[in-house]
Amino acid sequence: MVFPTASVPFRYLVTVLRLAVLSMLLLFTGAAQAQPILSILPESTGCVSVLTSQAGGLYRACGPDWRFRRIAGVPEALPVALTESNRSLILGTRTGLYQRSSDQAGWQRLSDQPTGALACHGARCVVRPFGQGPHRLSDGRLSPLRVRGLPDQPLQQFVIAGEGVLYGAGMGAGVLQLRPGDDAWQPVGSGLGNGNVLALALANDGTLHVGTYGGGLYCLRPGEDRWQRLSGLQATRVTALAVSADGSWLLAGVGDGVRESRDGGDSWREVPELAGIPVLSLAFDEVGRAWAGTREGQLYRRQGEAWMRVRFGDDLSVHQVTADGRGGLFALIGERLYRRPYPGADWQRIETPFPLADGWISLAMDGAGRLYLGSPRHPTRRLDIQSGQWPVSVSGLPEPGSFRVLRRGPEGVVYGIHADTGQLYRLEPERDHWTLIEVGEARLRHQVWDLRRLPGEHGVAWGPNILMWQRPGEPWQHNWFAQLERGAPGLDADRVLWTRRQVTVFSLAPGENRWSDNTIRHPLYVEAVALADGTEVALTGDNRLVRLLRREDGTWAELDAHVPPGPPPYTLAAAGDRVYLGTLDGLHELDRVHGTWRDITPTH
Amino acid sequence: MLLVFRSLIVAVLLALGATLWWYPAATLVMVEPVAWGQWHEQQYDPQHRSSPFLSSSVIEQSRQSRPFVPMAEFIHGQVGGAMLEIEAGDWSRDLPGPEGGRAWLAPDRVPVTDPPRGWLNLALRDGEALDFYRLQWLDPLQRLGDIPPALAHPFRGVSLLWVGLGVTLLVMLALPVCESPAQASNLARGMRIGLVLLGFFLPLTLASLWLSQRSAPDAVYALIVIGGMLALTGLVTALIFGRQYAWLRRLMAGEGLLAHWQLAPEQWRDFVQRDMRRSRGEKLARLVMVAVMAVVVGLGFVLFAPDRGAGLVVAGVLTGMVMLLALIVLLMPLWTRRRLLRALPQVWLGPEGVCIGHQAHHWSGLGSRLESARLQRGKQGRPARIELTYSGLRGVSSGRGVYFYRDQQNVVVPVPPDKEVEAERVIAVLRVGKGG
Repeated sequence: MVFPTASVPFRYLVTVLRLAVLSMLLLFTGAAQAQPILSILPESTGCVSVLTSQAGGLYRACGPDWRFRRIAGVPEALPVALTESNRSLILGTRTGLYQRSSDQAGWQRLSDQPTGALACHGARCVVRPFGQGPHRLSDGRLSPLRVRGLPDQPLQQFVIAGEGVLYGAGMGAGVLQLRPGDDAWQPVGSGLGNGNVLALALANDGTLHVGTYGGGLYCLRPGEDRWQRLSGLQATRVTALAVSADGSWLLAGVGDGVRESRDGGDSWREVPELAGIPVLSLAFDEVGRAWAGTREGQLYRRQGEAWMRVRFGDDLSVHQVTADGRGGLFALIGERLYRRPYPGADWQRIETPFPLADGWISLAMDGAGRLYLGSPRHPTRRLDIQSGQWPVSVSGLPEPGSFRVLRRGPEGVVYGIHADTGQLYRLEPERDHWTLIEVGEARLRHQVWDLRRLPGEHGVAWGPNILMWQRPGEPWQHNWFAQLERGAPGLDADRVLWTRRQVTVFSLAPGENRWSDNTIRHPLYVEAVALADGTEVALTGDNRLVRLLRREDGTWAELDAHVPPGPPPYTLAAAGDRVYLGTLDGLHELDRVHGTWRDITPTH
Repeated sequence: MLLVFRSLIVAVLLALGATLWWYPAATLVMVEPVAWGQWHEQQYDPQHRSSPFLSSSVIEQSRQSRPFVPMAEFIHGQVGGAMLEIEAGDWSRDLPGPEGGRAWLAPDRVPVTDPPRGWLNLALRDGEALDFYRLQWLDPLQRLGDIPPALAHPFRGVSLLWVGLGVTLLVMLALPVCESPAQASNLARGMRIGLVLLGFFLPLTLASLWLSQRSAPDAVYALIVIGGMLALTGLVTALIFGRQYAWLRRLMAGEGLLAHWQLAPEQWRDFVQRDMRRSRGEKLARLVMVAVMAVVVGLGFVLFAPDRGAGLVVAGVLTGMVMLLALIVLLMPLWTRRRLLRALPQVWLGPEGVCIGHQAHHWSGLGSRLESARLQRGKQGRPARIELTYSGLRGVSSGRGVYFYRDQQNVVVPVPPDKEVEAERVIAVLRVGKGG
């Protein structure tokens, strides 16, 4: 018998569960956060480096394809500024100053002082650590500029002119200059009506431009001593500025878009493609191509007479990749779903029934090659390849709700984790029916976070307090743990299952049904796919990719190992004997003969 | 009557003056210049932030967790995308410069009303220049020490108010007073003290209650409690002494009067002198008893307390208390003698009490009673006297409850030489009145 009020606590329970699941998902999946683009650095090599505010968020691309990739080995420190000096990249971060020479792969730490501003011209560099005055950077060493006349407000922008004149500016500080040999900073020119300088740019002819907060744009031409306000620019808050080498083409970020002038600042027009977009950084590269980086982490490039968005950062993050038995590949990259019908074919973009912007979308393909698309906010859909339609696939799923995670588990079975209750469902594709895998009454602590296929058709699914596992030919079993770590459980070469709870490690050997404390063994395989030749490719807990051969006694031997071509998180798929790995900045196919990776990321 | 209520009116005027002198403005606008450059710098340089006690691990954590944002984004984030831009004008002339300190303005001087969330970020435009301020609408109660007094306490500038209050006070104090014997008595004095307490602290308490609806500092709540207790004490005192004063007025008017004696000046002086010695003797005896107890307890603490320092402190406090009591025992009879010598040498006797000069004793109040009355005939030609003993209930509270005991008072009434017979008759009536 159900009392009329019973629905109220149930509703509360569902709400609590939903909130808990959403908050855990935020933590667990590391939901995509915007990475504001702090600076765009056109290098003397013709390539372009882009610095975001995220630790390690330094990307680089070269023409003609302009495929941006993370620069490997960038210090895991929060970046502040980037510049180039004599073909070396110099990176200022919140925990130090680093340099990478063009002939070196690694980064050298020059200083442990947090960098506030940075500028170089040729071999001359100036660095201002936070809380201090400007320093000279010479031969990898910092030495303070012992000169008088620093304003109370910090200098946040620097440029160095060819003849060695150092210009410094800042919010409330105006513009100052330090000539070689001088012992004091001097104000630059007169008539600068607004000292809140946010941007500073120097044209090749020596014209100095400053963008101010509230006063608009000013310029000081060579030989003149009075600033001229470029009154054609209506906007008064200039937050970013770029000037072409000849000084005729100006770009000004004005908070909600970009204005451009092609006549040295006399007349201005709005850039329509960037209207309403907060642009933080602007630059002209070596060949005069314009670039713009936004607060939301989007990168734009001027192509001909139009601005186009360059795929960059999260746009290239591979969330999931799955393959069918015929070599076809589906990849969820950024906010787009792509299909490659067969190896070597062009990528096709597939329209989805709902936007893929929330980052929690998941894909899974069953043994028959049917593709399912899951979202916590929409009913699960199944792709009809012929028609391109996405019919709903919800039979057996309790209403309301949907799946926040779809995974292909052992033996090609598709599993779904309910968005609200965190319960695990198994798809029976012939009936298009979802069946609950029972572990008891739905409670908060029963929630499952994720599921993985492990070598030898093993499967694990885990949540904060539950671990479920399946050995080949056996049903799912489960065990309750308190506060399991978020990382995936693993299987070792002896088919022992492992999981970790804070400082305690538990293991379950084959044939046993009781988990015991143990000392963890490496390597642990945390995800695996089967290849056509009977071997398997597995990701290890320490982010290696290994090929495994099953011995007669059921244990596994490592045949070869590969270093992933990009940063984690990884998503793994295999079709026939082809292995695909999605990384944070692209999709790659393993060349098993040469042991190298081939970038197959769709570029459109 | 005027004498009684004059005290009340003067106290109320003083309380009113004190309240208005201190009463704070309802709202003021705090204006602080915003140096965005320095603020931005401080976000990323924890060592230069306000607290010098940040540990290196906290600084390191900040460096690893707070992503850098450029200045324009920092401003955008801090102001929540909303910064009001206003042209500079007359109102902004007195504002501090970008490097200046804090300023306060009356709300009607600021050209913004009802800011969202009680504060706003302001960009003050003066031609091409832009200065930045943060304006906060505040109840000045919490920051009275920071605000110029003329702004914080608006009533101080109302001259007419202070002139009016001063004149009224002077008039009240200058009114001629003709004290009757009843008005000069200790009962009237007690009633006046009660009324002064009530008249001074009740308005202060009410004003504090009113202020407590605002973001009042702790002192206001302390004033509510202490002022309220003192006002209540004043009310109870005024009621008790007022009732006894009414009885005295009736007695002196002849209602229930058993005897009214006029004493010769010599006899009065002799009586006052002897009464002082008697009173001092009684009090000294009590003092000795208290002193002995204090010595015992103090020594006990010094010798046996686990914390010797604390024991010495207790002993010191007890010694100080005994010395204070000794001072009172020595001075109080002298003061009483002085008052009695200046009083009329008369005695009013009634069944409910007696008044000797200015000193009245009343034993028909709640819990009070006359214990004994006897005529002591004078020896060696000295005049006779009536010795009365009355008692009143006194309460002592302890941790377990309130205990009551009887506190006895001895009163000596001088009898004129020719009034011994009348005195005997009076004693007979008093004994009948008390049931024995």
